[in-house]
Amino acid sequence: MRDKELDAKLEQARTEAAKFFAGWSFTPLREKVHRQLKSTVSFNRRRRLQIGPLVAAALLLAAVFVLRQPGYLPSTPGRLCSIPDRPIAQYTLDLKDGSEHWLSFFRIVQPNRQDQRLLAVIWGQDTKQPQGYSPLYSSVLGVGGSPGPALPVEFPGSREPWVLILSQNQDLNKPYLHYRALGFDGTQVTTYWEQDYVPAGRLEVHSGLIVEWRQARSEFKNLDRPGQPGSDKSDKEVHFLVPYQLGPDKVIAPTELLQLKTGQYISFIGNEGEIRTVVEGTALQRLAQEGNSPQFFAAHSGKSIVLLQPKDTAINWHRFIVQIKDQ
Amino acid sequence: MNKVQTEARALPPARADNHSQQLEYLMRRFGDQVLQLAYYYVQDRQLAEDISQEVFCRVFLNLDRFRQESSYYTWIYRITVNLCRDYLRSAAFRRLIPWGDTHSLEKIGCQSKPATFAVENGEVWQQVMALPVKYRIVIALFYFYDLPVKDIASITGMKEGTVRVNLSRGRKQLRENLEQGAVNNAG
Repeated sequence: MRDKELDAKLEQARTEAAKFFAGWSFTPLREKVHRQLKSTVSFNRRRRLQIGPLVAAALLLAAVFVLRQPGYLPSTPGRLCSIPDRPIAQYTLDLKDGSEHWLSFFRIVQPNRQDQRLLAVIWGQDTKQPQGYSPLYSSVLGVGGSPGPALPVEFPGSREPWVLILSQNQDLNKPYLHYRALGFDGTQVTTYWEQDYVPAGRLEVHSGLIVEWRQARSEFKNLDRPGQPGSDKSDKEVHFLVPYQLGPDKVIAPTELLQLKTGQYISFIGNEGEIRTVVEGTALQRLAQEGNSPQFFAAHSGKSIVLLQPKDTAINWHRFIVQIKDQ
Repeated sequence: MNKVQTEARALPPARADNHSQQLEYLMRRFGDQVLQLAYYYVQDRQLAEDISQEVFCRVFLNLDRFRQESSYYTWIYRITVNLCRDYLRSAAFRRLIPWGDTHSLEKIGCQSKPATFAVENGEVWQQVMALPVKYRIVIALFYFYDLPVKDIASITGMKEGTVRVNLSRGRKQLRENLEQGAVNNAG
């Protein structure tokens, strides 16, 4: 390639860069800069208070010295900007129990880390608290990302409201999805499924069935071993998450018939350790359990039966018919 | 003289009383470029946003100390580059400290960059972004920001000779990568 050709390529790269950054703007960040500065120094008084910074620095040094003594907070690395004291997003949660719940997201930095994570907090009404709310649940999601509103997971007969909380990083280099599937039994929140760093992840809920899409990871591909996970050529992995709940006399689930394509995954998520799973047929291949959630891979076209058998024998089992077709 | 240089010299002097107005002007004028420059360094949009915010926090706090010896933009870009370097240094340090297994997951995620993104974002630009940071930055400042070698040296803290060497080596590596890509596509 000659120099002139390379120059032309660089001119092309310049145009491509302009296209890439076309949707980027510093404008929404200007307000954040002002807020950041207001929290550290008053705009209008700054120039008059010449001695202020010296006093502040002395106080800060003293505070750091005291806090680093044994028994006080552990030392943390310097941050680029301070942690905001307000949530960056807040949503109401409809948990179908008549009371009011809120989902808040805060940006935080963990000790020994500098990258930001989102702390998700679910608040429930609490008459004992002066502000009327107390935290019911909290979880630190994977690095980066913007929060999204909770997705309800509803299906007929459901006794316990379920929600998906999530954050998504739109950065093209790290387009991750982080999410949690949570159930609420009236007094506490239970995590039934959690995933961080789902590459190019997307979630959908259809009649109580959760569908997770993710970018297939080439290093996990198994193209020369048909019938094994990763053997399909698709660049998308599809994972069905089937929630179930234990009723007084039966297992409650969104459906009895599941239709999959070869190469797709399915997991049954619900009350930990309270069921056994039995599989009939070879179309569905059992994988190592993720936590206590049995996970399967649609290895071949055909039909399999999955039985969810509660360990409490007073509760009837649930039967899923799983039909698998070729991609 | 390019547009950035012309406007940078037409700015109100640093001794203007209202620093917040001055900051607002600088953010409007250079905010996008600072954000993009940070991205060229760290290749992560959220980090670039955090860094660019911090750049303007520092600009505001140091407006009194700005001495008109350089243009505003070289001063602001220099702060950006220094903050990005600090970040990369701290990131390298962080890798020594185990914290769960999230690093390996992040690594996996980085490797699984979808092919469609490469096409949508431009093949040549992707090749520029794949260059080592010392080449990537000088190429971005020279070819995309239209800055002269002297200013790039001031911004990056390199000698002018080093900037020229990095430009030359960056071009060489980019040429090889593009030729290699063309061979692979043909195959």
